[in-house]
Amino acid sequence: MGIFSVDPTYKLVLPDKTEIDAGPPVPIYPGVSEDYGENIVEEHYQHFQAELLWLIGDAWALSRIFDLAKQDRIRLVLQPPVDFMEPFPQYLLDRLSTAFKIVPWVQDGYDRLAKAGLKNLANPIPLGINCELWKPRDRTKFPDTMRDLGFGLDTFNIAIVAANQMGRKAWEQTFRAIRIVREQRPDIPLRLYIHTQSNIADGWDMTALLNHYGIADITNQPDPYSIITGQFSEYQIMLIHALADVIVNAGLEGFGHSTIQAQAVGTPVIGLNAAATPELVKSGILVPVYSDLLTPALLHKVEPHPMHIADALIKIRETPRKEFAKGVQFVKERFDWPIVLEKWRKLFREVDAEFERRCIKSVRYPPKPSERALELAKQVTIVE
Amino acid sequence: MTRVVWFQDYNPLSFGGGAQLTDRAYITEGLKQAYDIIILTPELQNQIILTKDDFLVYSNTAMFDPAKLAAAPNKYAVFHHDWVQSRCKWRLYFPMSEKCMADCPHAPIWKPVLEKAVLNIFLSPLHYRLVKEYFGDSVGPYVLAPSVVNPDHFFDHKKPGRKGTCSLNGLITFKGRAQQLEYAKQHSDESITFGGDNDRPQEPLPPNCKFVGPVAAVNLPKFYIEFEWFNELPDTPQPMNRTAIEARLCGLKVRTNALLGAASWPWFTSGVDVIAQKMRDAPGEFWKGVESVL
Repeated sequence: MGIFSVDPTYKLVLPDKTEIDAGPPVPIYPGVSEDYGENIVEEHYQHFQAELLWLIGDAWALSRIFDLAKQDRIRLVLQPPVDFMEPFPQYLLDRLSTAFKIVPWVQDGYDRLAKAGLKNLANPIPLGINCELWKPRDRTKFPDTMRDLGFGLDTFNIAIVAANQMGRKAWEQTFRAIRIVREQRPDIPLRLYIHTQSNIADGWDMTALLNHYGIADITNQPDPYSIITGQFSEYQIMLIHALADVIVNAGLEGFGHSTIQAQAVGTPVIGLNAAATPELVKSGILVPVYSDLLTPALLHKVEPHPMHIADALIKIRETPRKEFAKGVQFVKERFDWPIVLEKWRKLFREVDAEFERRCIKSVRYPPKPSERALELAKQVTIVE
Repeated sequence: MTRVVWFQDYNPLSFGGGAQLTDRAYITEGLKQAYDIIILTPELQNQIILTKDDFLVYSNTAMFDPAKLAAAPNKYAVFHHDWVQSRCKWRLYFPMSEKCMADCPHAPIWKPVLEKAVLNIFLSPLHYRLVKEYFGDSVGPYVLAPSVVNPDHFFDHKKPGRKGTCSLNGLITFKGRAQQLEYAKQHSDESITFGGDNDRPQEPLPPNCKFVGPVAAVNLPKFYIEFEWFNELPDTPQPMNRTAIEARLCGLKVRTNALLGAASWPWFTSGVDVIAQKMRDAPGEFWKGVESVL
């Protein structure tokens, strides 16, 4: 497998004919046989003559990268989700301490990692969003998409856009909540669209779970092949958020992109009142933490109660959508890509200056010989 | 007999870099003298159990943790192959800048290792002088041990008709590329052949220069003996540079400057036979130095 570049003339054309510049070409290195590409990362690093490895990743799931960073064979700028509660396992803190910089996504992550003793923290930088694309849409203009999602103009349309993982994303609690609403409020015509891989190792069998809670008949799912091969464009994902009445993202999140995506298009969100989510919800409802569990990776997770999600769904159903409009401006002022990218530029300028100060830039930047050395170079010796 | 544990980033018996070739010669001599020598590379750190009686040689150990090296309870020697054996990218390229001499951020990492060494081994008088200037009193007892070149492999074939000038690795920036090209421009009637590496192959060379690429170690004598002159013109100090010795042993005249470690040895200007004998004697001298501190 070779190294691929994005065509520099490539333009992303949206269905409304808007063109988005894909930006300069970027070499794309292949992974090999292992999920995170850890087995080949050092070779790629050297081939690219990288000064640092910039990684968004779960510290608990990686290992070799931290060994390489500890040995100074790579320099790591890591943005890890802090989607777990205290106490943090020691192995995780040991791994995080090997990075040149840890960049939390939100202040909550910064504060809790600092409290745990990490000294290599940079100021938080959130995920970004393209606010030219992500903006409120008039659902009456998208009848085909509404139909595909199973949504009606008079139904209460719930959407979940999340990974299919057990112990995360509150799938089970949310489905139970929808069943509760259905039982308690038969007057509410519910519809659900779940954008996820429906059947995946270590995840739920979604169809089985929907049937278990008796809500399969009101639920639409995407074609599994289309979703697993990444055929959904960002535009389509935007429409899913924009055409729904509510987005539920009630698991414990280190960030939770769907939370800001929903608000960017004027859709209220239901999130968990823990970790990153309270900082990210301006328009929506936070549900309280109800229970906790410890994963095999020794991470403490917390979860909501279905009843609280059900109450939130009913409240949103009974609140005019315009009352959730503040989220649009909230997202635009904080998460629009130009704002986020400037934060990264600032960080990398600081990192570069630190590399310079510590004389640890790569051999691509050789220092000039001093005047003294050049004087000695002039003292030529001939040996015959 | 005391066991000697030889720390190296790469196994000298299987890796052909300059530091490893030098180590190979010294280790081979040690084995001939019946020293019990173990080579310890980074991946073996947790597999070889050291005893307090082991004598340690820290040679080319950038991949080891300096704090752990300094904390060893053993007697140890530091074999300097570069300028700073820590995290500095310029271990081989010492620009002698003001910052290097007065405010190097890497020096404090390596200083504790030097301070506890019972012996320092340097490749040349110039090497010692500059490291001493750099680290001051942290550098204690020392011996000088040159990069060893095999005089049975590199010798003067007295081939008739030699002409022109050659250089090996002279087009590498830190080996003095700028000086080499400046010389070539000023001597446009002189034919100059560059072998080895070239870290800016896309840059055109002066018309009197030719780049022939890497030369296998086994073919180096054949390369040298075609030429009358060898140019080694660094613009930063070189701890040794074995290529100048190789060229001398092959009977070439050498044009160099005050930054070449090899040329700082008093015997460098002697005849080929003297240099060959120094090469033969060097491993024995090395172990005499070690013996004196065991």
